[in-house]
Amino acid sequence: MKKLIELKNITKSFDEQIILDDFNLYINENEFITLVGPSGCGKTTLLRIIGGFENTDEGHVVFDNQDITKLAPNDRQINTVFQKYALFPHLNVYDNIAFGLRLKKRDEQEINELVKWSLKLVNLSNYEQRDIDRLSGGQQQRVAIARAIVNKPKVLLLDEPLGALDLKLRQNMQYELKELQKKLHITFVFVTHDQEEALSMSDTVVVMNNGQIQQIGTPEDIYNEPKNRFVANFIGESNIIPGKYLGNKLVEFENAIFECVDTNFKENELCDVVIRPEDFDVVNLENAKIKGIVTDKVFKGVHYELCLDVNNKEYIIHTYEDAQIGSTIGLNVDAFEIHLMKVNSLENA
Amino acid sequence: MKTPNIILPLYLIWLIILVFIPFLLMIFLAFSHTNGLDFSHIRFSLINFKEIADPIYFNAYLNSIILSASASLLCLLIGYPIALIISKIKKNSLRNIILIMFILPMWSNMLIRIMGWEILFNPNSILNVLGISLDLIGSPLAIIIGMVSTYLPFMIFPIYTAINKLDQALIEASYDLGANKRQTFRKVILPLSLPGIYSGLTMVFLPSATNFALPERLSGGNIVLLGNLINSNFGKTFNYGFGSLLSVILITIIFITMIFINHKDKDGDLLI
Repeated sequence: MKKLIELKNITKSFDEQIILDDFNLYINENEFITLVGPSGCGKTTLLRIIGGFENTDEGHVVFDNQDITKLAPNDRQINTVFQKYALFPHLNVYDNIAFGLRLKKRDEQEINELVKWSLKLVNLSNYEQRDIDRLSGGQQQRVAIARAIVNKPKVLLLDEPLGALDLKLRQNMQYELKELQKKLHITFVFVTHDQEEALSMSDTVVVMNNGQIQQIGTPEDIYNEPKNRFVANFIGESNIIPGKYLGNKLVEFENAIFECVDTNFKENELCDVVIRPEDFDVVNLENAKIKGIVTDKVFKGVHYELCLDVNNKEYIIHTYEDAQIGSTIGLNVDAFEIHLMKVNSLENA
Repeated sequence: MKTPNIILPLYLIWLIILVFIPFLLMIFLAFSHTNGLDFSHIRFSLINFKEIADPIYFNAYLNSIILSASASLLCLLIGYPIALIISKIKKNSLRNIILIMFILPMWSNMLIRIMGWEILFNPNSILNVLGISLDLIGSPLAIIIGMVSTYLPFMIFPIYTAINKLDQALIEASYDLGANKRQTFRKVILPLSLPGIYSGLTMVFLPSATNFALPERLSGGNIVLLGNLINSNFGKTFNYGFGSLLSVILITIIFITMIFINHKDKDGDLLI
């Protein structure tokens, strides 16, 4: 795969506050990459630096082997779908989408075809003459996407584009965006604070916090093998339990010994054990290695979410079977569901 | 959403007492003949309409409209760049100081400011020290300068407000789609500040067209504007009937202009 964008040693601060701290990242051609993190982690600033709307204090942005750090946004082959769409209210749908093409002095015939093509891609055919303020949020979203892709950019930047949509619509749009990206062979750089969105859409997920990359990898890697407490907590729900690696793929926690798959620990090294709520098996008490008292339960539709008190620590587990509050239940965990993290890994969660 | 329910009737009462009833009274007076301020022998008459046929009145209307329209356009040409520059100032304190600089003169009496111009426009003025001798009194230019200097803030503020509340993301979107600064101004900033331009034009044109003190001081009796005529009919010759007719026609002209501007406003393009 070819590197399309390289961010080298990017540093940026506002009013003495460091937003991005010596940030390095490369983005491949045709990749769907998602920057995810809590608000204030620097993800939007990073996107704005790629788009050219913010200068860097230090570092370089390289696009297609050319340094574009100082290039104005209008000279970059990059288009943006803005957070609140930023459609021009004085223009109708057609003129909004044709805005970029007209600046490039394409002839009207070609513009007409391209506008129709892009509207069809976002399932809004026959909306050409609509006023912007007569569109729903979801439709405005589609127009914003059409307005960007009609210019056939090499990179499309998307700044929390689905944030304002309701759940059902958001899920549909996630799917459609993914399809669009596959069809158009455009690199998508997607910014979101929604970890679920990040996991379900991306080829690559970049988890950010405090202006630094916490972990970068495929959605599966990020979810199954979080590198540190922050990632484990931020991406999905986790139970993080202090434990000790005994060597020989054995780990001890909650006064019991479990088999595991991790090996990169020394004998008797302390570690953090990460277990996802859905990875616990509820078993009868005789076979259980961990026992807990149910303190709370919430019905979530597909499963129950139980809060357990295990040796005065709170566990969250997902199970298909109901349990009474106050009752004691037994748990077990399979070896491949246990993930071990180094204790000294960053604790900025 | 409860406040409008209280405000709206109050506003309506206000409008009826101070606008609607006086307007009806003026229409009534325009069709009446009285003996000066003696209303005891008031009777229906079209005599005012005969009088208005005199070309002197047509000229007064024309003068008023041309001069105040020129002043409005001049205010726009001067005021728009100023508003744009002010809105670009990032430092709040500096921006407020500049805004106050444009408000401050409005605290002094308009008449004093006009008389200041009047002195400067005479051949013998303090400007002689600089070797400059102006002889502008009685020229249209003097009146236009007077109007522009008096009403410029009314142009700057609505435009400034319109530009200021413009969503920064729209400007970024324009750059993003490949527009340079000039294209962004022409295709995004200017069209979206049109409402400010329209209200600026209204707020300069209306008082300019109806002002009587300003032309009286600066025209040297050379140029008669409608405001002067209405003023002298009400204040000097006490011909309320004719004064009312002049006012009603002026109000009608202004009303039609406003409808035109509001209509254009909704379309959101052109006029300028």
